Amino acid sequence: MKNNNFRKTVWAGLLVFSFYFSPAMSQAQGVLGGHVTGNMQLDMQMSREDSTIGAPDVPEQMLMNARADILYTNGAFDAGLRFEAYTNPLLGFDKNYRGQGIANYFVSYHNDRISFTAGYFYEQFGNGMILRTYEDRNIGYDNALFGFNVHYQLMPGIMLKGVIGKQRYCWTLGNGIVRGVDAEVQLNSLIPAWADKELRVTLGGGVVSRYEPDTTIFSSPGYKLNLPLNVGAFSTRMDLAYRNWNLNVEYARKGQDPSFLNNYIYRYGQALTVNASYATRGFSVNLQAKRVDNMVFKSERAATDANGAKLYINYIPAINKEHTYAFLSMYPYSTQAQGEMGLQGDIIWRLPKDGFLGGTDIHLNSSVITALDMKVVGGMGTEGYTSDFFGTGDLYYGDASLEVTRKINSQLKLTALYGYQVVNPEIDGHSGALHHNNVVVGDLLWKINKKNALRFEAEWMGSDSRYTQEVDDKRCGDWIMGLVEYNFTSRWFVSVSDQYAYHDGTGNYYNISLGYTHNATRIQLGYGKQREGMICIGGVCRQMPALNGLTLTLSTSF
Amino acid sequence: MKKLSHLIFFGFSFIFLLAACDKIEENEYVVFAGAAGTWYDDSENIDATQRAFIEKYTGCRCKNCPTADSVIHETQQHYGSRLVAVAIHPKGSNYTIPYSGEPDLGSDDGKTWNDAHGFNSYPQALINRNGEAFVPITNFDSRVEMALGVTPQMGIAVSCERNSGNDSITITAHLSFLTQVSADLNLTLLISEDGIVTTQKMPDGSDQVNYMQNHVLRDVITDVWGTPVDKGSANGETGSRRMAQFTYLPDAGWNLNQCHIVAFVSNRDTKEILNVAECGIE
Repeated sequence: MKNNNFRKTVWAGLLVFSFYFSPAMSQAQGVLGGHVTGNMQLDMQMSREDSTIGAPDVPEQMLMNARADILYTNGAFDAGLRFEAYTNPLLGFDKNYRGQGIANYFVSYHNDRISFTAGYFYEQFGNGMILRTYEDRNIGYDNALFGFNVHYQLMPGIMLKGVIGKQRYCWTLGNGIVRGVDAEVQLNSLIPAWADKELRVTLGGGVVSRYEPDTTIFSSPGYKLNLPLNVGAFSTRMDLAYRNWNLNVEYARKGQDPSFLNNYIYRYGQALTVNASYATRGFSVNLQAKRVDNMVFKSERAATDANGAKLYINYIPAINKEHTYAFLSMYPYSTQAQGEMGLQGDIIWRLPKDGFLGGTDIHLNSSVITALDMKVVGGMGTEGYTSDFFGTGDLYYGDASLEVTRKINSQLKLTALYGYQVVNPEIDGHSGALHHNNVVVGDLLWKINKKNALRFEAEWMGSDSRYTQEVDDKRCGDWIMGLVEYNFTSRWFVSVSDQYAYHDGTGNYYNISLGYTHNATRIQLGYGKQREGMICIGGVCRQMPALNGLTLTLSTSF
Repeated sequence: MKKLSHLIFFGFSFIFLLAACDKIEENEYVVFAGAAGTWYDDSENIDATQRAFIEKYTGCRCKNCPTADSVIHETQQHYGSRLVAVAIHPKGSNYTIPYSGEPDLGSDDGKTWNDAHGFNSYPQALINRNGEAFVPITNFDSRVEMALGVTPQMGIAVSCERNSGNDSITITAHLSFLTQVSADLNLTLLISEDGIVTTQKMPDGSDQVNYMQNHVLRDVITDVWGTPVDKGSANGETGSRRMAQFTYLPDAGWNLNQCHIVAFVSNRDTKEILNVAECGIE
């Protein structure tokens, strides 16, 4: 810990040194010849115990997550830092965030050929199936690498990347050292004869390796697992674009990586994603498929997800739609990197303007995700299972939705949506049979004038799930919801909503919010009840406990 | 120049690819971890004294290590059996390369511990693996006092005897839960040897022949990080007692009359040592 503090002090000193002794410090623009930009966000919660919805007692009375990012840019040089404070973390966030300090700092330099970053950085190879570091403050996820990142343009059309470092977990770093290289070749830039061809071809490939010292994992008394200290993964990818068509294919394979989340089996991992799309004016169609098999890849083999996702080196892209309306998003899908197969189709169509329904936007989406067809051959210290590549197992998630949006006139816009979901409650730790839900949404936006607008939203969800105290899944039952939102003077808004489980469910969740926005500053105050559940972004999820109380959000940027 | 940079890049990439991945053969997924012991409920009353385990990382070519030896020796004189010491000569270090024709005190188990603690210069020491490494020359007493001053959670005793008819020894470890310990625990047994004579680099840079090396780690009898403590049906309730028996075959080259068995109980996750005991081989 002392070393960590020392390291941070040295880095902070370097940043200050950089600001003050920059060669361009005498220029008038910005600060010391460069530009300083930044943003700040503060989220506060006050909650009281509510046994009916399961809201816990909060001894601190008030919880807060806050952060401020500062970025200094001076020509080819960048430096930045982020201060974070969790005093104490909001409900649902990893308790290990408790504390405050400089959580991220870096310096970087770039020119036409090479760029490098030293410090904390975010990087992604291809779709991220072997490496993706990123942060999402809404789910409290930050797996930044702390080390070195280099990008090198070998020649026109060939970009090389290299990374080495350890991953952030709250206020510490993971045990494993992550190393990786990636190359991406744009053939149309590399081969002069292809420069003007309509077919655009990009090929890529990367290798990532994790080193973690040996630890003892007993398989039985007196016997332990012979653990691979270096675990490698590679991926190859291809992106083809021809006129309105686009095809992206990526295949990844991971070496033996016995870990807590795969029950310490030695099976190789692999993943395949295919994404085909066609887009023209007013119409687009997108088809996606993926198969993921034993692709949990973390920088600590013993890391669990008990307090939320942590220390993932890779990222498996989600292919199901992220719904925005309350009842459809009540059951978000959490990517099962240990094994899943999925398909998604998505069509967006704006009807030609002439005709009765001209100008109407139609959005049709459907996805289905299942488990793999697995035959178990052993437990810890074995290959684990075999799996037929094209076989499917139990259903994890399926949905279909039709969303129609029509601008009735210059003031009124109506959105109507019907959605059907089948959800396996075991995905997020509940139990019971599949939930089958029908959801209907009506959303009317009335722009009264340039500065005032009213929005009405009504939702209904009918479900075959029934609330029982044994399972205590508070999403069960039939629900109804109403929301009214009024935006006035372009700066203020107030909204009132209520979600009520009127049949075979439990809970009445009312909320009132008041907000004010001025330039880049926004403040929002809310009071009400929040249902326990999950929030998922890109298939990465965070448990969200019930809450009964006040919330305050303040954000600004400069 | 351009071609050179390409060559360098692809050279590094090739080396990287070679180092990227270890492959474990299927018949080697599971390996012997060390003695696991046979566990029983125990009725024996044992001494509940809190003791401290000092592991000193050292080497025969480390010139400051003799000073640490003296300090530890004096401290042991003061605290007696409450301070249990082991000298670890991690294999693979330049400081532990034996002098020509002399016994190799290097230990693979010691290297595993050394690497986990991240030591690359000696002497270094830890008391009860509390996470604070230090050079065992100054401020030693205060650290020992602090370790001995905690309220013991576990009582531990160890005994061992040679088996007639063969060269093996039977080791019995007794554990007493003085308070409920919810954490998973490991029991580690090791064997150390006193009185090994080697050449030693001295603080003035000279090589002293016939230097007496004491408490030298010879082997970790259990797995290097210990074997799981079987808490029994009482699951570690306050007042419960457990006993584990091990049979061990020492190396014929060791002088068992100069050897000791050290037993300690540690938190499986944090590695912190709760208590330790030592016995000679009868």
